[in-house]
Amino acid sequence: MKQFGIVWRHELQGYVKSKSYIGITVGFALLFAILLSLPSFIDLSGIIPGLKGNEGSSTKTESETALSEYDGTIYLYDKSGQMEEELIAQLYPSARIEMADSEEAVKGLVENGEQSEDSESADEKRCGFAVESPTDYRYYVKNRSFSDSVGEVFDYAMGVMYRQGRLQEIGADAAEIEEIYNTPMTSETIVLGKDSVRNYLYTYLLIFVVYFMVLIYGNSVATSVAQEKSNRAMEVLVTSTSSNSLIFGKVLAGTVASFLQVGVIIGAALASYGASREAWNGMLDFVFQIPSQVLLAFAVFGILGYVLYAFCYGVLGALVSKTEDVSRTAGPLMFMFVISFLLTVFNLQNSDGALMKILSFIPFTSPNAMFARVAMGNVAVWEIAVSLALLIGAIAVAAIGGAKIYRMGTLMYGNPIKLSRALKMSREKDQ
Amino acid sequence: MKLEVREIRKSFGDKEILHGISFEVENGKALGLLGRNGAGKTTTIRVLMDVFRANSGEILMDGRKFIPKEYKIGYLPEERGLYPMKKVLEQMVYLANLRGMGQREAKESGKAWLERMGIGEYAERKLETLSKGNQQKVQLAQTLICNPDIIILDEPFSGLDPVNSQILKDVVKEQIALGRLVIFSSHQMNYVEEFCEEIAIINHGQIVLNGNLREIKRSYGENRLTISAANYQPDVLEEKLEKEFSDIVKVVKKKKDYLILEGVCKGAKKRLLEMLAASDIDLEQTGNYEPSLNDIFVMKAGDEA
Repeated sequence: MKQFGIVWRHELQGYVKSKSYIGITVGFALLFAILLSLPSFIDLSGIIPGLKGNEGSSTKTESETALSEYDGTIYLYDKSGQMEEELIAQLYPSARIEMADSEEAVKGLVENGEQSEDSESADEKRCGFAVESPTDYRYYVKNRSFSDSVGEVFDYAMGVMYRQGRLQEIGADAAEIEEIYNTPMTSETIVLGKDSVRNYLYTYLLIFVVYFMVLIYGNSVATSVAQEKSNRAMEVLVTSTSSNSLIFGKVLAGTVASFLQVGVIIGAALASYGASREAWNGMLDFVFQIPSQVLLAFAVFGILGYVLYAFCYGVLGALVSKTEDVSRTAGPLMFMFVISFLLTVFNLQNSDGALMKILSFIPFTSPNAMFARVAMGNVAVWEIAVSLALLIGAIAVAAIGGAKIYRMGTLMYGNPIKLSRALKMSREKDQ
Repeated sequence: MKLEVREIRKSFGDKEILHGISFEVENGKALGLLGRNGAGKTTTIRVLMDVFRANSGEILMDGRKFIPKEYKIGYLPEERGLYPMKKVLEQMVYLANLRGMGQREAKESGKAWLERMGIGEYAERKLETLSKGNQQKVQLAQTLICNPDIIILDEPFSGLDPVNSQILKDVVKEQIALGRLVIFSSHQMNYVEEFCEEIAIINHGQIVLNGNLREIKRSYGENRLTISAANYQPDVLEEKLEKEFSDIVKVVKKKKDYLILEGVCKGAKKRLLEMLAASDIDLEQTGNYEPSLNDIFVMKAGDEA
C-alpha cells in the first residue's frame, strides 16, 4: 500500500509538473474565465444578441425585426396597380425606391444600373420587383448574397397588401383583423421532469469531456508503461516494488490528473460564468446550470469508466516493448470506445430507447450510455445500481487480470504480445 | 548471512529454462555467477528477486525461507534502465523510496553516492544529458543508494573506460569489505577473479561448476603439468609423448608454446620427470598447471562442453 502511494505520487507529479499539463490546464481555464467574463467588462450586445447591453442601447422589437436593412436601390414595376409605395418605403427604410415603366426596364436597371456619370452607381446594390398581380411577382437580383432577405420582406408586404385589399372588398376592418392575427401569445414552459431541450448541450459536452479524457490520458497510461519497458526502467522497478503497485499507481494517478485538469477548467468556467451571469442575461444557463444529480452521475460514471479503460490501456502498454507500438496495440480498444461514444451521441435524443438501455448495462459502453440516460431520459434507481455494480465488477476483473498480465508482460521484450497469448500465459500458475 | 539456492527449476510454457540451479554465498564474499548469453543467469537472478516464481526448489537465507522484501537489495540489471527524461537525483530518490527509504535520507544518500562516483554535479541534470559512462555510474549509485545488504551486479563493467572501471572496482571491493553479500555476474573473467571467492557456472540452465575459485583452480591443476622442449615443437612433442609415455600421461591441450599434460597413473609426475631425463627431450620448461578462470569457463560452458 505504501509503495502504491509512492508510485501514485511519483506518477501524479510526472503529470502535473509537466509543461504541457500546466499549459493546457492554465491556458484553458484562463481562456474560459476570460471569455465568460467579457460581457461584464465590454458591451457585446451588438455581437451577441440577447445580451444585457449598456444604457442607451436598444433591443429590437418584434415589429422592427420585419424591417429590411437593405440599403441599395429597389426598382419597382407595378403592373397590377395595387402596390402601396408607402408601405414598401416603410419596410425598406434604408433603401431607395424607384418606379420603372416595364418589367424589361426593371431587368435592365438591375443588370446594368442607371446610365449616369456617377461612378458610384456601378457599385451600388440593386434589385427589382415586377408585380404582375396582387399574388404574383418576380424578383430580380444580379448577384444574390447568402443572407439575402429582400425578397422575404417583399413577400410579407405583398401578403399584407393582398389581405387588406380582399378584406376591404368584403367590408371587414383590415386593421382589426391584422391585429387579431398578430396578437402575441404569452407562454411559459414548466418542465416537471427532464428538459431534453435544455439538457442536450451539457450532456453532449460532458460526454465529450470523458471521451477526450479516455483517449488522451488512457493513451498516456499505456505510453508510460511502454516507456518504462522501452528504457528498461522496468528492470529496476519490478525488483523494487510489486507489479500491482505499479499498475494501480499509474492508473489512479492518470485518473486524478485528468479529473483534476477537467475540474480546474470546468470550475474556472463555472465560477467565471457565475460572476458574470447577470451580464450574460442568464443566456448560457442551459450550458452551465447543470443539475447536481447529473454532475454526480458524470463524476461517478465518468471516473469509473475512465478507470476501466485506463486499466485496459495499462495492460496493453505492458504488451509492447516500444512506445511506437502502443497506438497499434491500443487501436482496437480505442475503436471500441469511439463506437461507444458515437452510439451514445447518436442516440442522445432517444435515450430511453432499447439500444440505449442495453448499452447502459454493458460495462464498456455504460459510462457514456448510463450517464446520458440519467441526464436525458427516464431511468430507475435499480437500473443505475445494476449498471454501476456491473461496471465496478468489470473494473475489478480488469484490475486483477490486468495486474497479472502486467506482471507477465513487463519483462517480455521483442514483438508486441497478443492479448490472447498474454491471457493464456497469465493463467499459468507459476508465472 | 548465508544465501542458499537449492534445486531451482523454472519453465516458461512447456520449456524448462532452469534445470535445478543450486549455489550458495555468504556475506563478506562475492559469488561470480558465470554463464554464456542465454544460459539462465538473468532468469536465476529474477527468481532470486521474486520477479519470477520458481516451479520448484527453494531459496534460503540463514536456513529460513528467503523473502526478498525483508532485505535491502541493490540490483544493477544487465539491461540498464532508468528514466532518461527525469533528473538524476529525483529518480534515484523515487527508487530508494520504493525500496523503503525515507525522502530526506534518500536524498542525502543519493547525493553522497553521486559524489563518491565523481558525478555530484549532475544531480539536477536530466539523465539523458550524461555520457554513457556517467549514466552507468548513476545506475550503480542507484543500486547502492539504500545501503543494501545484498548486492546483485549484472555486467557492471560493460561500457566503462579504465578510469571509471577503477572507481567501480574500488566501490565493489569496499562493499565486500563492509560485509555485504555480493552476486556478481560478468563475462569479464579478470574482474570475477579479482573479486570473487566463489563461482557458479551456469550452462544451458544448469550449474556445471560451483565452488571456491581457488580450490576449483587447484583441482583443475591437480595432476596436470605444463611442458615445453627446446628441441621439439609442441606438435612433434605431443606425438612423441603419446607414443612413448602414454602409460604415464596424456596430452590434454596443446598451446602455442607448450603442452598441458595429465597424469594417468599413480606418481605420474615423478615417473614422467625420470623418464624425460633418460630421453632425448631437451626440457625447456615444466611446472604445475593452474588454469585461468577463462580456461575453466570455456571448458565448462564452451561449445565442446
